[in-house]
Order: sequence, then C-alpha cells, then structure tokens
Amino acid sequence: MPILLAVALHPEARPVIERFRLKQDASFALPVFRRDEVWLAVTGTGRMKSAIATAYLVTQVEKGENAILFNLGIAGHTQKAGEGPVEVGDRFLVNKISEQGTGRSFYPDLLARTPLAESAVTTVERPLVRADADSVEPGLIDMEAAGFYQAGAAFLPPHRIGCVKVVSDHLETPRLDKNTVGELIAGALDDFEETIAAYRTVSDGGRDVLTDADVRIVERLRSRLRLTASRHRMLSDLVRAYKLHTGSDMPDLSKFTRVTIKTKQEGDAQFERIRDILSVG
Amino acid sequence: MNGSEISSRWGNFSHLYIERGAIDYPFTRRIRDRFAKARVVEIDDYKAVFARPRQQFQAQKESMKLILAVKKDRFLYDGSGHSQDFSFENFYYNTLMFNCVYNCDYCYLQGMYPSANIVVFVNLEDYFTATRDGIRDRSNRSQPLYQCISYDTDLLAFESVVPYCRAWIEFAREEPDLLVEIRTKSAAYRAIGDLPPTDRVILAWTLSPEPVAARYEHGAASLRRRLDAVQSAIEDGWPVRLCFDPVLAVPSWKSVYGELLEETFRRIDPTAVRDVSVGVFRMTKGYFQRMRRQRQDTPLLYGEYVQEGSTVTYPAGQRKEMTSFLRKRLGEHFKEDQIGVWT
Repeated sequence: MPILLAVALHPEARPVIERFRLKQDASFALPVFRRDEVWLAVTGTGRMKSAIATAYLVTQVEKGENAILFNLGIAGHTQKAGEGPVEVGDRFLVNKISEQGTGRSFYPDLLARTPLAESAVTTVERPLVRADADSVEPGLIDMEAAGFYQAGAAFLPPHRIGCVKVVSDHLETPRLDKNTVGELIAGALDDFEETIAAYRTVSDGGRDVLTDADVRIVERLRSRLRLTASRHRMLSDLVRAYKLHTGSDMPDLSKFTRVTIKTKQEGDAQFERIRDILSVG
Repeated sequence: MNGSEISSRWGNFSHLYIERGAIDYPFTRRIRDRFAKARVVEIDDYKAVFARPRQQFQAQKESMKLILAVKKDRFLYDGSGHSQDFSFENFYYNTLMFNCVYNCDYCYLQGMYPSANIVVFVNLEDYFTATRDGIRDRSNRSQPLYQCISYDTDLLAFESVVPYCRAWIEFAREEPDLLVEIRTKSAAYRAIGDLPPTDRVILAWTLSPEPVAARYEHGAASLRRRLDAVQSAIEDGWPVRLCFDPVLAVPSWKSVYGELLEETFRRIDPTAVRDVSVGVFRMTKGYFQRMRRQRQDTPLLYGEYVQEGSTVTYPAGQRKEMTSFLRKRLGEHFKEDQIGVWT
C-alpha cells in the first residue's frame, strides 16, 4: 500500500525525508522523494499548487488508487497565545477543512484511532493576520488543505486521506525561519508515524474473494476468448459466486487459456462451458 | 514507518456531525449527552458528510458516525412497490433516520446510500405535521393512513439513543385515522415495554432462520431473542406482525425455513398474531449493482438472480416455489387476508 505525502515547503519536508530516509526521484516533473512504499511530493505553497501536486502524485505512483494520502505541514491557530490550551508545537488531525475562498467544507473520514487531537482548519488565500481571526471558524489556518483534499478525494475514499497540522504561530508571527519550521515538524513525527500506522490498519471492507492470481486467469480468459466487457464482468462474478458458495479455490480453467477462437460463436460456446463448470446451482 | 498496528479503529459514534441548524433541538441535546465523549464537528448540511464521493460502506460500518440534521422536506413518501401494502390504499413511509446499526449482508441500504453513517433527523414535529396533513388529505377516507416509520433503518434498535418509537406511539394514540408500523430485527422491546398498547401501532418483527441470522445479520438479535420480544409484546396486548422477509435461497432453504416456522409457532400462538408477511429477496437493480461494486465477500450477492424490469430477484420458478412453500405453511395458521405476500 503506497503512502503518499504532500508537503508544501522544503523546510517542512526535510525532517520527513530524513526520518523515512527518502531519496529524490528525478524521474518526476515535481520534487518527489521516495523509498519503498513512501512517496513525498513538495507541492509549493497555496491550495492550487497543493491540488496539482497531489493529483500528480496519486496518478503517477503505481497503484496510487490504493494509497493512503497525507498532507503534513505547519498552520496558524486562531486562539491567542497564552489564552487557551493550544500552544505552538501542538499537532492536530484535521476533521473539517473549510475553504475560505468558496465557503465550502470537506470532511476526511476518521475511522482510525490516532494519538492526535482533532481540529478544523480553514484554508486561506493569503496569510491571515490576528485582526482577521474572527472572520473564520476557530481553529487552524493554513493555505493548502482544501486544495490537497479536493485533489485527493477525486481519486481516493475519504478514509484514506488525512491531514496533519502542527501549530506554528497564533497569527502574530510575521515569518518563521526554516530551522523553526523543521523543528516543529520533527517534533510531530512520532505521532505522525503512529497516525499513518493506524490508517494502514483500516481496510476498505467488503474484501474481494478474487485473488490477484484469479484476476490474472480471468484476464487471460478474457483475452483468449475475446470476451466483451460485459462477459468479462460476468465471468468475474461467476468465479466469485463459485468461491463464495463452495468455499473452494477457483477450479482449473487453464485449458481455456489455450483454445483458439476464430468466431464470436466459438467464444460464446467456450464461455458457456466455463459457466457450466462454475455453476453452483 | 515501523508498520506496527498499535492503533485501532474508532468505535461506533466516536464522532457526532451536527448541522448548525440542528444544534438547539432537544433530541440533539439528548444525543450529545448520551455520547458525551464523542468528538463534535459542526457542519452546514448533512449531505456534505453523508454524500461524499467514494465512501466505503463496509469500512464505515465498523466505525459508524452519527450525523444530526434537520430534514427540510419530503416527510412522507408513497409506499414502495417492493413492500407489502396489506391492502391499505393510503400507504406511506417516512425516513426519520438513514441507515441502521445492524449490518445485514443482503441489506439494500448498502446500495441505496453513499455512506454507512447514521443520519438522525431531529425535527420530529415537522414529521408529525406532515403526517397530520397526510391523514387529512388521504384519498381513501374509509381507511386510515398506513405509515411505516422504520423502513430504511431499525428504529427500535436505536430507541435507547433516540426514543422515536415512543414518540410515535404517543402520537398515534392521538390520531384515530393513523396506523403505524414499526419494523425491527431487535430484541429491544423493553425500551417501549412500559407503554400501554394501542391498536394504532403494529409492532413488526422480521424473523430469519437462526443460521441466516447468525451468518448474515450482523449485530441483529438472535432468533430466540426476537421471539422472546415478540412474546412479550403479545402478552402486553400489542398488535404484532411477523415478517418472513427476505426469504433467502440459502442451501436447503426449504428445511431451514420450515424449521423457522416450526420454531416460531412452537413459541408464539399464531392466533395472537395480527398478520404475517412473506417476500423473497428482491432489490432495485441500481442498488444491487452498487452493492456488488462495494463488496465481493458475501455469497448472497453472487447467486442466481434475474432482472425483471428494474428489480433483481430470484428466477420466477424458484421465487414461486419459495413463496408457495411459505404461504402454504403459514396458511395452516392464518387466513388468506392475514398473509401479505410480495410476488
């Protein structure tokens, strides 16, 4: 299962790259770092850049549609410093993403129990200043989450998309230096890693009884017998029915992968023979 | 990435998603108190959570969230052609909740809804108003408004969270031209057992053979416990309906369902039962297809089915054999007009 990480800035990405010992993969058009099943894209700042890079990552990585996708980064917080429980360095799993520009909100599915507290985040177009803190829902402020989420949700179910934010300021710090950013992210990586592990334990449910080997045989039969898309679907369902009703493995259909078909009628006749073999009536 | 699996899933109702407009309703406050430790997320409209694309129904079933919302319209629907109307012409149903705490392999909700999360509509008074209007405007004045309130959910199973059965029983008591059906697979009769019975509410239990209940009706009460609940309701004087629906073409279905009927009427006096319903597995084609796309792990969705119009069901011969079998056996205990059959 690929783990895809979308991170806006190099200073945010650096501790992650070091922790997971990622190497840059120059074959990508964007800065992408990887090792084994972990892929990290440095997206750039802003929701549009985040959306583009996220969509790129999901579509370019093999089996990206099976991935778990995370956005990790720093964020401001609307609470004033010292006037509530939230402090710089606190990290949150996002349960609601509001897009200031459109007024729309998005909700990642929270199925995995993680060590993180939760918070809403509002994605803004330009950095928010303290004077404007009341114009948004109380909580985190960032510039990427809404773009990231919408891009990810075009490909993945909402329980495989997560967004983790580390509080960097209370909307009062004009600019953070790179080292501070890196330290904030580094301090969150144990929780982040545990969060990823928790997400990995959640399956999509309704697991297919067809194994990869079954799928390969069905594909070979489709090609050999020149099955239409509808017949192909039917064949897959016949195999599922056989396995589910008999509790047995798929019967040996290898002889059908060696037949030569010249006409559609011949293909249909072979298909009917397979149907008889798979019949559970 | 150490790959350890120290964390786990959230349990059910770890999160409450609450529409801003629903916050001040009494049922919302009650549910918040009931799940005091739940994380609360304020939302503008329940559809933004419930109707997200690409949700995985079965993944969500293991960690269902609760969405509290205000229903804006459509408080009364015409009775479905897939349901038995028992010759009531003013046949309606409503949706007080979307989805169910149980997880039956064959349940059409998996194909009907984009999400397994449970939506509770908290504006009960608006439903009552619509029902009063429906009673007033019903076409056949010689019959009551027949309203099923637990179709796309199991209200009694959720009664400890939101006491809607109780509220509807009290409402029906005030409405002489209303007949309410509350259908359940639960054994939670005790949740309303203190109420005096009324002939304006039918308590309906779906009964399944124990092997079917155990294997395919995840979370629902066992047959024995359902029959205990039926017996209690009858003893207290409630009109009770028994629903053998859906009848499934499981291996040796004849002996399996024969045993179900024997067990049922060994425990329950049929003369104390108001009526019974029978229907073999059937489903709207679109729902069936969506269910198959969502899950490939249950034999119930991968059998011999035919499509008739927009309905997926068993082949006509098998359907007839199954229906006739149950009809005949039930005919030993009930008059013809007491047996509602979907064919």
